[in-house]
Amino acid sequence: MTNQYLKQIVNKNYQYGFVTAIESDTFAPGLSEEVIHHISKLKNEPEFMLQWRLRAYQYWLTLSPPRWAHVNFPNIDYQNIIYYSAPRVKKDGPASLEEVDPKLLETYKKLGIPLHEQGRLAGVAVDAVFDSVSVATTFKAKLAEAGVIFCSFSEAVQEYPALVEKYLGTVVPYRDNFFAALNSAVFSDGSFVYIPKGVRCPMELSTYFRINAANTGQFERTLIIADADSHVSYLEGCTAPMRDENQLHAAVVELVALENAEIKYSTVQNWYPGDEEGRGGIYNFVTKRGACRGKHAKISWTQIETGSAITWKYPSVILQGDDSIGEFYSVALTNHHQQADTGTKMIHIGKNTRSTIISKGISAGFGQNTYRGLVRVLPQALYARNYTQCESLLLSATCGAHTFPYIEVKNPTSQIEHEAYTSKIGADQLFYCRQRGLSIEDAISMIVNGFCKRVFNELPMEFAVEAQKLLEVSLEGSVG
Amino acid sequence: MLIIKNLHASIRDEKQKTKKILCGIDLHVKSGEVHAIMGPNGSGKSTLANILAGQKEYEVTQGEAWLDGKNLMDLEPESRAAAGLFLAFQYPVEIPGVNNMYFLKAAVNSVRKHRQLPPLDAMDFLTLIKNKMKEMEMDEKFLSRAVNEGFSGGEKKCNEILQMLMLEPKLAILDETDSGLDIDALQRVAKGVNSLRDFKRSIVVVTHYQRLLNYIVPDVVHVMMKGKIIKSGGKELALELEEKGYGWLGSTE
Amino acid sequence: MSAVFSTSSWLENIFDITSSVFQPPWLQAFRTQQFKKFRERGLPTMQEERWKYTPVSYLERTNFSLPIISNKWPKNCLEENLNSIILLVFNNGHFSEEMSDLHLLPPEVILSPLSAALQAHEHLVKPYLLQQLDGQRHPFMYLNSAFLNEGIFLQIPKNCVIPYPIHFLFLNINQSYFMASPRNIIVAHENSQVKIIEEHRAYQAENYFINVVTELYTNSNARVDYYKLQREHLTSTHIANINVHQKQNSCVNTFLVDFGSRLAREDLTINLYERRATCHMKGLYLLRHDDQHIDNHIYVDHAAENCTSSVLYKGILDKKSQAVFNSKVYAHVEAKKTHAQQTNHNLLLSSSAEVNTKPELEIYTDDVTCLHGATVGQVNAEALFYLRARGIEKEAALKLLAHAFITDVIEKIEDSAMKNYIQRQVSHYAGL
Repeated sequence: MTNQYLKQIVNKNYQYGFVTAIESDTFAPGLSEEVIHHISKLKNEPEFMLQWRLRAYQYWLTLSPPRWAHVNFPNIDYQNIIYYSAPRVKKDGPASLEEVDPKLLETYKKLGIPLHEQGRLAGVAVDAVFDSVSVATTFKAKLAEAGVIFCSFSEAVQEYPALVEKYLGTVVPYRDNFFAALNSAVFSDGSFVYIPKGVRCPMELSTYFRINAANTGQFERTLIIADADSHVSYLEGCTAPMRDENQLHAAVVELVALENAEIKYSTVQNWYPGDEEGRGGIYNFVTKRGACRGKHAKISWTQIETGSAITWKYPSVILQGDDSIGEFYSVALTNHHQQADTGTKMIHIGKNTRSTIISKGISAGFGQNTYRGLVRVLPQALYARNYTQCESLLLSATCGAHTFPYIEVKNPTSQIEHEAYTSKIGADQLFYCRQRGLSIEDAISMIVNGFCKRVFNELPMEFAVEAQKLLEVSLEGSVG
Repeated sequence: MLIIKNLHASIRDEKQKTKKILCGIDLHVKSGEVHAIMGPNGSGKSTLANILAGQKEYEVTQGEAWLDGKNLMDLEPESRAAAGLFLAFQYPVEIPGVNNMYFLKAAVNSVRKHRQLPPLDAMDFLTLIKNKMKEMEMDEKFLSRAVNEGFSGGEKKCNEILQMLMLEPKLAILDETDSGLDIDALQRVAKGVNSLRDFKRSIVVVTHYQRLLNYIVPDVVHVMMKGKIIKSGGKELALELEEKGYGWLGSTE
Repeated sequence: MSAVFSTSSWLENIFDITSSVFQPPWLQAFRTQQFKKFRERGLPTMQEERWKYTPVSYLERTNFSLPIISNKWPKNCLEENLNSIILLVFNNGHFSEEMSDLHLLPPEVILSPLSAALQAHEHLVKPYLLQQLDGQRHPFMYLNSAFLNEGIFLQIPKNCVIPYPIHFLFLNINQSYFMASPRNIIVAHENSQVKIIEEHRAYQAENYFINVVTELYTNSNARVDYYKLQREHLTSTHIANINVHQKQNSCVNTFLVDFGSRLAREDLTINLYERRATCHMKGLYLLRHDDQHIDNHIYVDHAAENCTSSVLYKGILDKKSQAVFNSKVYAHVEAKKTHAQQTNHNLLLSSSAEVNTKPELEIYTDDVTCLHGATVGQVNAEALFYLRARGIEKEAALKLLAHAFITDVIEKIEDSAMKNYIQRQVSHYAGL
């Protein structure tokens, strides 16, 4: 009986499935050197960018798609994807928010991300990426006062080519994997952040990704550099319209934290997950990695993954600097026919490096949820410490929860601990809540939220409530 | 208030074998009365309490139970709670990550909604709960912790009574609430329960020992053995049981 | 799949020799088929997930011959044995009747070397031998089938409880560069009980390769305790597949102790086919020498409801040794009320030792409680300091703590004779 309720409760309403009718400049489907030349030219890129893209493309041609993840999907026809689609602009680009197409402003408003610089997100600077391009970035002036660079990737290539050339591909080289290579060849935009030495970024930074055009892949690239003694908190959100065909999102995120710097990177991923039968939805194949390059550097990933038909991502930290810290906090929910293969890699290289992994997986319907993690301690990483806890909650008899933790230790002074627990929602907990008068859906939502609490606590305040709501929406049902 | 007629119940064990636990319980608790149900381990006392609250592990094979004219067996657990039934659990479960105050507020407002009362706002709720906690001599830090998580046995039992005070039930069933309590905690729990005692409310105390009944004095005492009430009497019966044990009753059966 | 061993290598030659021995035609045909399958499949490579950390390609480049009985019995080789046992001794893979001792065996039990069982009970043995083993997953099982010539056949009838442990002792004596492929078949019928210890030792034998397959069929309500002690020579290769098949209410306890070999691989596969089957797996690996490599792979297949499994493995690694641990619980949709636990703890004593551990869960049903945990670390510095402050020398203190680390696993052995035996072996050969 409980199962039947659970089934109803986890039925999901996707609120962001609308399409914005807007004129776009869109390439014909297909990928070739010509397409890459074209993208690079449209963006007026310096030669080094074009050459880098072409090298990535040549390398990509030699690869075949990875098959090791615990996910199933038909072969993707990479010649049938549109690699560039941008809302048409009258001149070179909007100089200020006032010049942005009102339809776009309306879209973001509807998504709950108002682009004017007041109201609910008054303390958050937003870069809005619509299909292949960034359409607006808020609070640029205020950030500039503090010396913080926050702009679209395209703008960074024009304005700060030296910084881009110095760091691009140093954390995720284009040779890293199939999707990283593809992204490096065709990425069209994304966000760029540079926090100078000693600066604590005065506000939350955020990028909001929206896929709108049909049949289009989104390939964005984010690069965040935190110079010595700096601090930044960054958040990304993602949604897409409801469509019957699958769409590809292959992003790359690179983080560089120098001495004493701290980067906190949070994701609330709510791409269209497909319908109840598993039709449509985004293939979210993302490579995210951070490098703690200096002493005492810290990188912390927090992710709330409720969307996408398939999620394939492992936000990782390379702990090079002595005493550096890596963290990974994750909630992944798979419902209906969603599949998630997600986790992290913590590579301990420096001395006294520490990492923490807290992963919470929730599986419902026919969802398949996999935690895949790697903790590697290299011989020189004296006194490395890792603590991993991954817990799975099962909400249906037809879902799956899987755990594949790789632990590779080459140094005896390290202390590595891994714990995992998988169970269904506790019948005694449910009964207890109901005896106190709570309805079964409130009880479940309360228990699930309690289960995720540790991860929600890591989100910046402005988004913690958002994330909780998102999970409630995902678990919202029609129990009358 | 509570009328139980010829209630039979059984449970299926792991091997899918049916085991009878209740074999015809008759009980009538009037408004304002306090009843104690005593009996040795395994006599079915806790089962009775859990069945009344709607625990589905047990199968009711025969009989009925009415609360204030409502047939309990027709109701889901939360509706029974809304109808005014409260069970103080013998082993309150831990719910990690769920804040105690948040939980209680949701419960109180859910029950109020059923009773067609407006929800309490945060301020009113906080004032109310702080008063009740003072009564129970509980630390306010309690509110910020997760439901029962890491609580000592005594803290859990106090938390149960606090919840009872907040939910103001018509019928409170205390399942072995005295077990694992030291004398101070026992007195605090009894004080909490007694503060709720009035002519409209009924209380059923399920206990193994007479000790608690020194503080919560019952009007009627029942003795349960092997799934049946085999003897009922006044509060003296509890003292007699304390002195002689349950053996002498078994032999008269 | 590349065709490894494609050229007419040493393997072809010894296969021809094996084939020329007299044998029933069905067995001849089976072996030829298995050999073909092995050649098509090839040796596992490090690109395969299950062999990621364990290189075996050197086996292809080594010229192994077939084992020959040695007449140089080492002195005292049976002295350190268990008392009151039923003993079967093998000399370089060949059964030795004069060293074996079956006088305590209950008459209704069939226990004999495989070759003899094939003659006396062909109809009984045949179906078990023809079982299709998953050689795609584990090609060494194809190889074993192609070369199997000896081993053990044990059948315990219904309701029979064998009070004495049965000791399978595989001695490798005075020969080098040979490959032996023992196949052990144990069938415990309804309500029967048996304790078995399979042991592998070496005396003046080096660089050999043991590829053993042990099949354990446990019928309803039967109980099998299976112990294994692997103390092969430090230059040898030991590859083992232990496949356990469990029916309703059966209970299997396994205990694997490895401290020999240069490279050892233990694949323990548990199939819980029917409800309320229970399997408890324990293991120790103690590597004290440079270049030793142990790989434990456990796969527990929960295919029915109310089954319970637990894994507790501990390892101590010294010098430049390397351990791989992988255990996987797979719970099918049907496996309601599964309880599964996996724990792996590792103690590193040297800065060049290495551990790769991966306790996995793959769960396709909701009514389960599955726990797993793994730790890697060194001895507790505080405890070490405490002992030294009480006047115990560092080496002795380390030993003491290392011993304490594994003692709880050994303490869990129910049979006291077996416990003492294993304890003695551990102290003597692993120096703990």
